[in-house]
Parts: sequence; C-alpha cells; structure tokens
Amino acid sequence: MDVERAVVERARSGGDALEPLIAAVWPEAYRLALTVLRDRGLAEDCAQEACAAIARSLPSLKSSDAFAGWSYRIIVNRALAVARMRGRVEMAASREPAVTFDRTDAIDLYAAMAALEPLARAIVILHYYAGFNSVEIAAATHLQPSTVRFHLMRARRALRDALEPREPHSGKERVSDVR
Amino acid sequence: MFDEPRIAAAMQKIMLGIEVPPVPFDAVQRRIESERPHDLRRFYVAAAAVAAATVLALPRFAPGFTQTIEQQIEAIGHWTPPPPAPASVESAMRSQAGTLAAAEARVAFTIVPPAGLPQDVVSERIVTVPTGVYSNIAHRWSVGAPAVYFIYKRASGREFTLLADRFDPREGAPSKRIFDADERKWHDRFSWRNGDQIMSAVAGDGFGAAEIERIRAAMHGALVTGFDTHASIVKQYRLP
Repeated sequence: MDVERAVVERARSGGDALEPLIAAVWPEAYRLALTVLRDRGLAEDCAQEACAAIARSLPSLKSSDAFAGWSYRIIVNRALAVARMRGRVEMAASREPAVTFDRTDAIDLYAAMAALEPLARAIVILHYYAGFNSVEIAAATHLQPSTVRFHLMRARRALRDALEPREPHSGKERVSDVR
Repeated sequence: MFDEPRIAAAMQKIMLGIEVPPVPFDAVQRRIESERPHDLRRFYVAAAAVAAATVLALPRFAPGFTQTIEQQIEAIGHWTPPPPAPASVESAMRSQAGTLAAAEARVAFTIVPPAGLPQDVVSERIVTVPTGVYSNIAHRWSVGAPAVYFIYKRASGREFTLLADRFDPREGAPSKRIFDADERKWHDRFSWRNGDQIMSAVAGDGFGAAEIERIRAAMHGALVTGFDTHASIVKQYRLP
C-alpha cells in the first residue's frame, strides 16, 4: 500500500486531514475485500468499515512507517469477519465482481481462487500481493505461523491443480475463464 | 509451469484490474462517528450458528458483560457493535418480576428451572425481560421475545444470574467467552440445553465454573459447545 508518511502523520490530527488518508486507503481496502469476499456490496461495506476502523485506531499506531502492514491487517480482519458472518461466500456468477485484466495468468488465478475459502484467499493475497511472510500473516490473522504455512501450502497446491495445463487422461479440467 | 513469481505477477494484475468505486467519504465519516467507544459498553452475548450466526446478550446489572464471538479482545476494534437501540426498543424492554408460573406464561419455551444450586443461596428472584434484537444484515433493531432471569443471592451477599432463553437452531450455539466491558476482561461462558430452553451462565464474581457445572449436571442439561465467529444478529439482554 503506497501511502505517504506525511499523509499518515497529518491524518493523526483527525477531521478533514483524514480525507487524504481515506482516499489513499480506499482502493486497496476495496480490492482486498472484494478479492476475499467476491461480492461487490459486501466488499464496499467491508472497505468502509475498514477505513473507519483505520481512522479511529490511528492514534494507536506507534510508527507511521508501519502504516501499510498495520492497515492491511485491519482490512483483512474485517473481510474475514464478514466472511465468517456469512459463512461460505457463494461463487455464483451474479456475485462475481467487475474485474478487467488480460486473458492471461491473472484470469486463471482469479478463477482458481474462487475455489478457496476466504481465509485461504486472504492468506494468498497477503503473501503474493502485500508481500507478507508467514509470521506477518500469522500476526495479522491471529493464527500460528505454522498454520499459515499449512494454509499457504494447501492454497498453492489448489491453485497449481487448477492452473496447470490438463494432462492427457488426467481427468483435470483447466479453469480458463471467470464465470 | 505456474510458479511462484507468476502467481505473484498474476495477483498484481488481479488487484490492479479491479474497478474501484468512488471514495465514500461521507459513509466512512458516519461510520467513524457511529462507532465511538461508548457503544462497547453495551451488553451482548454472542452465539454462532452453522448457517446464520447470531449474537445473544447476557444480562448484568454491573459490571456489564459484553460477549462477542471473537476470542481476541484486542480485536474488539475489529467487531462493530450495533448502534444504540432506539427509544422504542429500549422502552419495550421492561422487566417483570414474578413467579415461575408467571414467567412460563410469558415465554414461548418450556422453562426448566435451575437445580443443583449452591447451598448458601438465600433468595431467588425470577424476572422476564424482552430482548432487543439487532440485525447486522438489515441494520435494524426490533423487540424480541422475553428471556427469563433467575437471580440468586448468596449468604455472602454476592449475586449470580442464570439466563434462560428459547433455543433457536437458527441462532445456533452461543460463544465461548464473554467480555466484561467495564473490567475489560474476558470470562468463560457456559451454556446448556434442556429441550427448547438454552441456559447460560458466566463464571464471575457470583459463582465459579465448578458450581455452574454442578447446576448443569443437576438439570441434566446438554452442554452446548460455543463458537467463535461473527454473527448476523445481536440480541441485547437487559438485567432487571
């Protein structure tokens, strides 16, 4: 998350100074929530909650340099809380978000991630997008690092199974599009 | 071969390809304003279900108990308490003290009264109070069915409460622990079923876990395993 230190510092005074921070956080909060929840309405609600929580909790942030990781933790926890509340989020076509990218790996990965549980999706995003290691993910998700590594291993396996080209007689279908 | 760098690159494309709606400054500001710390002092008890999670609230005079489904109290900032109930709901939550028979007439479940109470119990009060129900889905408060409070005074002067409510499978099991909003610490919560009644007790200053277990055993109640998750409904119980 690319938020200037000065923006974080100014936001600590609250009021109007929060707006630049919220503007900077909002896209990432929405994207992350949407990728975990796969529902635009839920993602928007979740991202709003996360932005509000970040604004409220800002005084407890010791160092503005740690803002990115700290805010990712808040966003992910919000998204996971919503996912737990709703139970397994259905992957019905009508729930799929508007996502535009090349018909390349991304589209395959996006489709493959639909088969993962929200927690596994959050872990994958934190690892591959936010660059968290297993210890950092563990701190963010209140899991043990070994549990995170286990989830990550299973997620990798699931993604590979879904993404690797179908081999002759393997019986596997390649996910080739977002439904 | 779909290796790690390709997953990372694809993940970047996914995230950057998502169309982001305009920044909802006003909505975020409203949420900031509506989640002030005083809301955390409201009293809730959590319950979770397999399909539709529910939060129940446990009654207390003071200190108040807030129970969420989340175990981590530091995550209390990650759980959004409902907004205060409107005056119409608050005013409907009036307590009515009376006999067991009077309570039975007011509730929609078969009351199984407590048994196996500590020997130093010197008095008992039975009170019914309608619950406040908040839907996290509809974002709306409503008045729920009454719950029954068995309030006991011990020789030492301390009181403890057993809460009986109708067991609704849609609400599922209550959560494992309860957070004392005033003391800012967690307590274990125990729940058991007798038919369509679910009874809850919190180990605290009035009695201990062993005494609660003796009550449950004497009632032949089926222990209900609690959950730790978020909920779609919040029930607010007000101590009489």
